Amino acid sequence: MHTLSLPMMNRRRYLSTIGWFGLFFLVTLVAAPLIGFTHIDLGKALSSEIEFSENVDAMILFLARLPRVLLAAITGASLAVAGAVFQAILRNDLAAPITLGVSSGAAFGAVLAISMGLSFTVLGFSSIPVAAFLGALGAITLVFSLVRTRQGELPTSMVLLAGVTVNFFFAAMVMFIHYLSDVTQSFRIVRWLMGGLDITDYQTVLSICPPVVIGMGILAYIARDLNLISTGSQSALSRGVDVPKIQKLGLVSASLITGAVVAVCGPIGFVGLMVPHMVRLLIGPDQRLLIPASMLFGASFLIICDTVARTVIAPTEIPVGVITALIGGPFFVWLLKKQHWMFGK
Amino acid sequence: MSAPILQLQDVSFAYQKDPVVKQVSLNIHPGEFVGILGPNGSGKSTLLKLMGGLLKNDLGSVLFKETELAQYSRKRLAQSIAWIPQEHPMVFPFRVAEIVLMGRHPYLSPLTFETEKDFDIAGRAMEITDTTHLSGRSFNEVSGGEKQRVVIASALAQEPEIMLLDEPTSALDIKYQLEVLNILKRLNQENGMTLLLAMHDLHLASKFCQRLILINQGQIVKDGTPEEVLQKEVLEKVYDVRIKLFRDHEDGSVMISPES
Repeated sequence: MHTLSLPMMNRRRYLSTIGWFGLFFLVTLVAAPLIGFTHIDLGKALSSEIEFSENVDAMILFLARLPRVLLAAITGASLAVAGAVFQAILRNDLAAPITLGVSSGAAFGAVLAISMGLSFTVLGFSSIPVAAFLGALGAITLVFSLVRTRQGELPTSMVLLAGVTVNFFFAAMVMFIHYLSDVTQSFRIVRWLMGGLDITDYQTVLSICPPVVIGMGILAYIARDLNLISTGSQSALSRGVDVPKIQKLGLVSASLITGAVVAVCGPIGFVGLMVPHMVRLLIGPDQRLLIPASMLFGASFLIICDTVARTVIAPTEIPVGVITALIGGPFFVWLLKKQHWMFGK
Repeated sequence: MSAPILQLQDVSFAYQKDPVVKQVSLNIHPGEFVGILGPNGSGKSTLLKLMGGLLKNDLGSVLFKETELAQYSRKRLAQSIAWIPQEHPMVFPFRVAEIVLMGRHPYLSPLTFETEKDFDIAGRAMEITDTTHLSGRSFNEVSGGEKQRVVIASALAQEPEIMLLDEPTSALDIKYQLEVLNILKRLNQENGMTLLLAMHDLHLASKFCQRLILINQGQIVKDGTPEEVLQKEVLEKVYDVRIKLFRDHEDGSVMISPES
């Protein structure tokens, strides 16, 4: 018998925690499509007696609302997991796709692709997601190389400074491209930059699945290595973690999933910052649990935000990015206040 | 004497341009309790990192059991050599038991959980370091002395043959200093653990270590027993101060007082 008087991580604790988060996710996933400005009769929507093309309730449910909810789920899950991983690798709990400039990097890539009318495909992916991924990767590489010292330690305050700088740089580039584009492109860009989940279909939802699944799979695989890196890169090295390799794998995978969803929804802020914190408060910082739990909770969180966005002043819809930013701004300030002592270091 | 467990042969290292460690050669034998002394910036920490494979030497070779460190995989090395940093800044609220269990990392494959055996080993490490009662506490909330013991427990969970400790007592008061050093002494005497400590306190070094290595500007000035190394003239030259040196005749330890 071991002497650790603590509910330690084992298969049972893991499965029960994931089970609760999974249940919450399923409830939001099923409930959200039923809520909306137009009332739908579930019995009628699911009825097999009415022709689908004549069943208005079914069309609203399955063609308008469900793909949108699914997109919200994938986007929320991706941004939350990316946030959790950025925070661990940079050892900074204010790190997130938005504060590190990764989202604006992706936005820059996507806007560039939109405005230049680029249309190429790489391995079956169209130009916008590929450009967004490259932009995200470029931003995180820039931040990481700005703050890394020879000994491999990352000065905490530098991380955010570098992130803010990179963010401003890419935001300025986006504005510049926007300024130069014609009216049609300009409208597309503005619509996209506001961050929205409204223009979607099953095809779009399916198209972002492969990069998201691959990225998250890699991150789950290196979860324990990320735990050690989050306690310090030198001590991780001394415990047998191949730190440079894991850092690269982690940053590339997190950029991949960020780029994939930003390409479709635009930069939706603060999900990647808030969700990992909320989850950490509930279950602790162990990445093996934090990654899957952030995934499920991030999905639920964005589904809820989007449901609010499309119902609060219905029939007018607010971009979901507005809702997340409205909640996220104050949350960020609270975190900053809580952590202000860190900036002395 | 048995074969050396750790060997440095003409090792040099520079972070940027100026070498921090210059042509250092030394042999460490199994079961030795070695103190590494020297002024600030003399290269103590760098030397320990080179021995632990955390830094790659520019010139010369570092051998563990007569094989270059670079020949071992990271995990294999971590099963034999543990390194304990001076400070333990922790951004995330890991609990003490979680920190100790991280020492099991070199024995675990991805996508697996710790087994009953890992819990046993971590539990024993916590008994040795008297940290069992802390296991559920947040690492950030325990005191400096307790942190040091927790981190030693975590290193013990690696089941290493060598432990490298970077100034394990510098930030502690005298009670905690003695606690930590007595734990290390027990490990050395009862388990035959090979220990290398970077230290500042010359008195404690002479009291606990069997062998001292005095370095200055990246080079070994003196290497031998505390009595051989801690000489008035040598210390005055290396530390650039005038001192009075007293010897405790009971245990042979040395006390130093600045000459004013």
